Amino acid sequence: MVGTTKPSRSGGRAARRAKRADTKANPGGLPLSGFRGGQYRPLSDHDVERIHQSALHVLEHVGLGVIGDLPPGVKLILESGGWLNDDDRVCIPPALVEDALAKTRRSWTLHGLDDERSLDIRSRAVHFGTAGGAVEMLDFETGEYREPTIDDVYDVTRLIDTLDNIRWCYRPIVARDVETVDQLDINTAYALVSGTTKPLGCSISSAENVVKIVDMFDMVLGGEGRFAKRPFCHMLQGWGVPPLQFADESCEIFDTALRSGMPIMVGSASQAGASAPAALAGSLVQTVAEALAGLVYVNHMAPGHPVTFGPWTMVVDLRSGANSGGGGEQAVLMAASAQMAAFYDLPSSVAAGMTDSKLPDTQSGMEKAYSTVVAGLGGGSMIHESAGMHAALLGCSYESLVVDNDMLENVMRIVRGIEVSDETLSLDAIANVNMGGPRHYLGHPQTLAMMETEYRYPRLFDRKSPTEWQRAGRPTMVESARDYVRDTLRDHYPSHIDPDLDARIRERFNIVLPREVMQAGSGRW
Amino acid sequence: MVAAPTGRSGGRKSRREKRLAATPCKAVEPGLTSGRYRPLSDHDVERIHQTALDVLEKIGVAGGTEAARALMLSKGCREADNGRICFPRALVDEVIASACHGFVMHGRDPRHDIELTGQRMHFGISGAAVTVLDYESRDYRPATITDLYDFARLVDQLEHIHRYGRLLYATDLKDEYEHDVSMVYANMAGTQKHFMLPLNSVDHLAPVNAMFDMVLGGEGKFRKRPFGTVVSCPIVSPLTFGHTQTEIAMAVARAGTPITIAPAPQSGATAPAALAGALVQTVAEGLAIIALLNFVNPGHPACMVLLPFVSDLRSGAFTGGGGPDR
Repeated sequence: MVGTTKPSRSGGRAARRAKRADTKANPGGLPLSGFRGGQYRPLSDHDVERIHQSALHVLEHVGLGVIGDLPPGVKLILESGGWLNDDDRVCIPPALVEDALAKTRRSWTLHGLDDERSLDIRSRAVHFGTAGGAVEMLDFETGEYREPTIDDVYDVTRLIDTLDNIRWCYRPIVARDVETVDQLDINTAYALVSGTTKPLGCSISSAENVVKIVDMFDMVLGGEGRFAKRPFCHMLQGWGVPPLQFADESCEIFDTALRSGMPIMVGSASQAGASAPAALAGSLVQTVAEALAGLVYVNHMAPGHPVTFGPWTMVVDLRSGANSGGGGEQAVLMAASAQMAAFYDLPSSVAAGMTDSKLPDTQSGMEKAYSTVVAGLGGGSMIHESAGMHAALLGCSYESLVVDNDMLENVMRIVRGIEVSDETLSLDAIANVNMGGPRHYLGHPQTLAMMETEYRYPRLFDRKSPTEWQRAGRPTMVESARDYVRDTLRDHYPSHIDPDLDARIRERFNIVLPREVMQAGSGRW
Repeated sequence: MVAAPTGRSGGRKSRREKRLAATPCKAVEPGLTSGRYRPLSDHDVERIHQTALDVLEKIGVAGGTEAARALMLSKGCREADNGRICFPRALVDEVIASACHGFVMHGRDPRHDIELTGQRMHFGISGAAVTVLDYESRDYRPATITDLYDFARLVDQLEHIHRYGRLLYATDLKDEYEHDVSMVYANMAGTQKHFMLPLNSVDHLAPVNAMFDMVLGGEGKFRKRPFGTVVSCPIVSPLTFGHTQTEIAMAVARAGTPITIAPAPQSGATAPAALAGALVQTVAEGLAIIALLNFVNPGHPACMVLLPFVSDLRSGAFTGGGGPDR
């Protein structure tokens, strides 16, 4: 029982580690199949149908523009029943959309290097993970924002490696200390694959780099072509530019990812009031249309490719034009996006946890919590951005990754819901206790049996009384998170890539992440 | 457009001006229709209801005042050999069918009226914290009647808190009568919103109602426009009628003013640890109270608040059994 252990602040590092090891053995742990969401339905069935029909109308009658040359997938669409209208826009008839919807994969596995961490991706099976592209890192020592480094990418990844409720590591930050975009892509992939055996995610800036990174991943798996068989990294890669435009450069990257077998989110990130209508329903119509167009594109290039349906309508503060993902509008939009994906019985990708706050504070706690709750209850399959992010995705914090991991455990508990069975309805327990029994349930066999399976116990969230809390020196969650970050990053150096393989990777690729920072005793942390 | 930032140096006057200039929120309003999130399937809801009826019929409720027991038995309840009062399912079904299914919680200012119908949703607050985070020292200290007044004034200005209830228990007032009338006075003086009235004794009901009548300008006026709701929970979990709150609830039902009832058992202590089982018991307790109220005054306006609480089962930081009758 934790109640009998020493208070964490006085217990020191060893006690904290022991306590963590204790909580890690929680048998109420999360299934890799994900809990089933969809209990929250922001839209009525009728409204879902209207949004769908309006999206079909947009695809057929408004069509999509093309930036640059006609991409190969667009040519195929035009050959199979699409047409260019008088404005040279690509019009897609409902039949092509129906065909794509029928042929899209309903479920697939997002592998981890450790297969015990692989995830079953399907409609309404809820998983949380990261994404991002933050260009500022909240410095662990100074508390100031600064540019992220490639060391940060590696450190963030190995931290996530230990956080159970973050199910994949999509690079949340962009290293700013590498010289070229090519080096950035390659080194980010290297930092990710070295830092965790969880499923990965990354953004890649050119088709050539997709090929190089898949080569690296093939090496990690032990031979050419292995990644395509066991893809352990996914991409959030658009094929266009909202509103409603294909872009040839994006399509080139997209096509290469399709060829390499890399799972990919099909969708767009349109901004309501800027690159999509300000009306929430209208913005959904457009992003659903864009995601459906993406499905049609994939169905022509690589039918059956593992995809998630990701109509991301992003909210901007219409007074300033700044991204503002923390509000209630953003939360309900993402839940509605998840509901639209569930309507099509497709695995979805949505975003939640995008606080506008710069620090792990009251605002970030609220914005992260309600947005991840409704995204989870809405039935999002892959809920991106759900840990660590700040400042409308411009910033990232080590402490927040740890805090948010605890939050996500609560959110998952809500998504799991309440099992109703003869046993849990507890008629016998109620009768035992009240009719000739002790008139309380403490120590009742059912209570003891359900302590660990029905309830979860937070790693950081404080449950002390005001008196105990004042006596303990008024601990804050962020301070506890800092202890965890420092303890973990001081000695958690994943070693699943053996030195020989690492040497070969370093020989073949221009790895700038120094080997010295990847081991204990480097003087860091 | 946002005005040029005035920052932290703007001072109190400019902060106030900025607040007053802010446009009222047009994107949300009180009483939005809710219910789009359904944690339980229809089938599971039905099973929980049926099991609650089983509990009321076969296990029943212990305790209660003589008057309450006599009334319940006269209306069709049955006394089991162990003395517990059992409710036949048909009787409970009848109560549910004829109970009040919607009413208005009035504000002192009609702008704050809350219409409790359908799935309209409002936010309210209430509690009985004995300590308050001191605004100046940032330390917890015992709450006083002045805090209650200040909280009411603050909430009066917070547009998205639709209904008030005191959050604190005034620990500086030891006499229960003095406490109750002062608490009610502080609520009323501090806010025009509808508020909750938790009382310590049935004897306090008449003086409190008299104070409200004075404010509204004549005897019987509060009954026509009750801007406060007595909140009372006659049940001490698990499944036991207490004494004081049963008296209060029955007196309110006789008076005909609205009531809020709130069984709040703790899962694993005063309710089963299984979440479904905790719901079953809480629902059974709520229905038993609704039945009693309707036996006193058929169709009595009552808001059924069900509060199955969770506590940390590792720490065992609560006392066993039903706890004191509040």
